Amino acid sequence: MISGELIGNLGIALKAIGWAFSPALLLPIIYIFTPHFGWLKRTVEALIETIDSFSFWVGEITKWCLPILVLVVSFTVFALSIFGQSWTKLFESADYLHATVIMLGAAATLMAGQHVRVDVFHSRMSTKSRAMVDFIGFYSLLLPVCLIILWNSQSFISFAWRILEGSSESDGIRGAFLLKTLIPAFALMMILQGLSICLRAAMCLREQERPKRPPHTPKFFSHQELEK
Amino acid sequence: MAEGLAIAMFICACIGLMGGYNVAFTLSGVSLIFAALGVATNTFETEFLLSLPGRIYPLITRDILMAVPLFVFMGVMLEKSRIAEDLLESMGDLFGPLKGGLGISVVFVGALLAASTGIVGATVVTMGLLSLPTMLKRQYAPSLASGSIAASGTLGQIIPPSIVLVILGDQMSNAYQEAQRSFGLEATGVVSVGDLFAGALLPGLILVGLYALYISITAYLRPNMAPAQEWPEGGSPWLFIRKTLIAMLPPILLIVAVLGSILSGYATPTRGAALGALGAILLAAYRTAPSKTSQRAAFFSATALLFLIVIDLTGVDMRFDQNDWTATERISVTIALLFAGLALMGTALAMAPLMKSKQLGDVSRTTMHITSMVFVILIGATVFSLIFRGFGGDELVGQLLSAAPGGKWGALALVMFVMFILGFFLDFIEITFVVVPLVAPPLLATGMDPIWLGVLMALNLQTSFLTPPFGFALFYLRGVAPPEVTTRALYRGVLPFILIQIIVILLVILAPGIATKLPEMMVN
Repeated sequence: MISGELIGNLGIALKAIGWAFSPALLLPIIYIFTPHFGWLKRTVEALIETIDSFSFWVGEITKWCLPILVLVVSFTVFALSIFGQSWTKLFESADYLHATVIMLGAAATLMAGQHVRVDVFHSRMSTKSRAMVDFIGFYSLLLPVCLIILWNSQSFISFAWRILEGSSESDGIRGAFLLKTLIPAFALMMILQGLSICLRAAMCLREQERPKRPPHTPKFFSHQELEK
Repeated sequence: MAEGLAIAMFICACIGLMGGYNVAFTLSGVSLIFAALGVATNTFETEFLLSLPGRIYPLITRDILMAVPLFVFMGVMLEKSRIAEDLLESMGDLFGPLKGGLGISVVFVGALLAASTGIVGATVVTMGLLSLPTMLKRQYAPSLASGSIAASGTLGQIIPPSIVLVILGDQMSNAYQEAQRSFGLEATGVVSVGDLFAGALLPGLILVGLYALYISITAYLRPNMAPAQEWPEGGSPWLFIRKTLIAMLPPILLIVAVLGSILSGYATPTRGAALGALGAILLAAYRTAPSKTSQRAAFFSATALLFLIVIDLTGVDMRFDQNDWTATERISVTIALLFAGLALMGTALAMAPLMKSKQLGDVSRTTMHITSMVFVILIGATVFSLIFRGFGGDELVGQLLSAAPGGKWGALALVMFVMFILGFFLDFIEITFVVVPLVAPPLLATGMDPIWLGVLMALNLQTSFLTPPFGFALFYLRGVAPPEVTTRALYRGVLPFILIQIIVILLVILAPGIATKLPEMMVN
């Protein structure tokens, strides 16, 4: 099958790109331990701003899945229970909306600092200790977990793509492979956003001002105030 | 060796959480480090981790968990459209002349509106910001005021429909199947989220009643702690009753409709949640409408939906795919379609200003944050349990529980104690995702009723959140309370409420019917 081969090559290409960019993950460590270079600082700032606005805008688009989800599910309830009408495609579209919100909204949530922390001690820490927590946390916790998810997704995803896996219902949406692709996409976006926060932490540890944040996002490493 | 690593992993995860990094990634990251240790010492197979994406996939597509974003959406929408504030204000005015009237209003509002959000911190903070200044202004004792706010802020978890119960119900249902499969429990039944809703309803209402009773007894015995107010100037009682009814009826109707549709089996929790969210959109559109037209649109749309349900409840067969159309059926289908069209158009008209004023966007963003947070913790907890099981930790927990002195009651007491302690550090969601899958199957295998166990766990955690010095609710309330409310007053204030909690827990243990009768009636 030609398309199978094509998709296989595409996967290999994506993997090569991933490997090529992987040294960027070391940037926070490099940044902390190298002397001050103007160009390095500008690169890091540009990188932070790019990643943040990427996560932010993906989140801003993704959030509209929620009102649509409400309407779709309500509509199917009335259509089914009153008029006995059901459309498998519409019914399944709710799954797609729901999964998209969770997986693509996670990075925006991370950026907005809305993933819960146990703040018994965290709330009493100084700005620098908080930055330290996020710096170490990225390398020892977030990065390994997301890398494992990404790495182990390979066979899971490639199989789904090779057969362009659809729904288990005959008249369902033929996009289960896209739904499954959300999992590595989630891992990748979390790595990127984690890197951005880790870079901010590195700048904070070097006592530098961090770049401006997208709207509706509290400052990191300080008390949670909304930036106007 | 493997068991030792399992225990060390659990302890390290608990300690690691104190560091304050994201809960989801602390749980999964710490367990991953231990998995690496396990691979190095040949006690862990890397193949275990290969199934990870295959385990995440069902989590994000499970139908019942779709109720979480929908309920959150409903709660956030109700909160952002200031429905709770209006309700509290008008109830406070109406019941002000009664001794302790304002305090009782706070309990009722907490029970009613906290129900749909169910995140401890958020609810307590909202309630604290909303009602604490008012209560202090009206000369309530700081201890009574803060105690009743903390208690009613946590009440939202146990009163359905709360997302906490959705999550607990889902985990309990998995655990029940696991108990039947692996522990040889000879039962064929299933538990559903709807069952847990039904089970938690009565204990929740008893709590509300006892809280209110305590406040009125205190107000009666020591009137200076909860003084009665004058009517606000220039009003007759009827005016206030009208105002309160107008503020109260829509949200109460909404919650009752959602709960009723789920408990009666008319809708699954997910569908009920969607209807609730739609209702919340229309309610918010009605309240914040910039023009009479959009206000009318929201009103007509909501009315049309209600009539649609009423027509359906009359039992007329309105399915399109039938060959035996009678005259009545034809007429009612025409009317129903008319209403449906009206509802569709009205919803579109009502939502337009909400979108324009950015309210819909803000609510969606907040809902997305909460939903993502919940599910990423679920993913983190899944990694944790996967590795914990890889080390044989689940068998260890089973052995530990069966070795507990006092048989199944000893095991239950042990689990309850551990959960109580964990409640000091972790929120409901984390505990439910991590602890319930481990401890519930062996407990259920001893023949305990899953709904009863679920209600007991929910009550236990709620108590834990209230208990000084670590209780979650207290921290959050402390954060928003004015300085004249001392920490001592806060601690003293919650003590009676903790006592009430313990009484209700004992009541549920001694008379399990409180939790199990309603679900049984539902089945019949």
